[in-house]
Amino acid sequence: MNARNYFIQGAIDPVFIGEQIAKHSSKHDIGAHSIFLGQVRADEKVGKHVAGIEYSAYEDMANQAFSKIREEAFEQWPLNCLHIYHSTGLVKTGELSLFVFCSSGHRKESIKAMKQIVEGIKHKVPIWKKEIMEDESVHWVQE
Amino acid sequence: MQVNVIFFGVLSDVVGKNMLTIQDTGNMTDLKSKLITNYPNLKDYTYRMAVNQQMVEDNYLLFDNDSVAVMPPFAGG
Repeated sequence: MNARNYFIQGAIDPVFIGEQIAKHSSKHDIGAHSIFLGQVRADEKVGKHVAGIEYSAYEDMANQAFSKIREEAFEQWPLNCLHIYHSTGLVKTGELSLFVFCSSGHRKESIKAMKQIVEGIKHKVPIWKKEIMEDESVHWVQE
Repeated sequence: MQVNVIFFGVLSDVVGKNMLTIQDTGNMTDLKSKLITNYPNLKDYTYRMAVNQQMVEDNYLLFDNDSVAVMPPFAGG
């Protein structure tokens, strides 16, 4: 069983993203990186704005689902690297909650793979969002 | 025998707890009917169920100490 953990407590720091990019400069067979970042929007609902999202997950099952998405992507596309990080806990409006980073020799593979990976994350991983409004009322996101 | 039921997302608010134990249930259909009897508001929600972290259908057989997750539609990202 793969015990890899894909979750980060709270928002994903843009500095961490920069560091991850920098780490790949020594991998000289990579010619293209695709990066997807999910950011919390200040949606308006009944006159109130979203101040943040509280993410929760069935973490053991979610980690398995992330690993499966990764394995399927490596089977389907000639990827050099694929890293996935998802927030758990509170992420404020404007902060980042999802960071997907895939690399390949050429652009087409990483771009196509990224679309499939992000859709997989949206539909196959047991994660839920509770919007915390400006007045601290809450609203579960039902997609 | 007993199974442990874990609720996620909005469903933990609907039943008012994250986890409970149900006694004497042999399959998912029976478990669902027991849950709806105890928490009628569950009928208003869409959910899927997993046993020991694997998605299962209604006729799935349950065993002692199985861990059953009751999950609303996923909403990651």
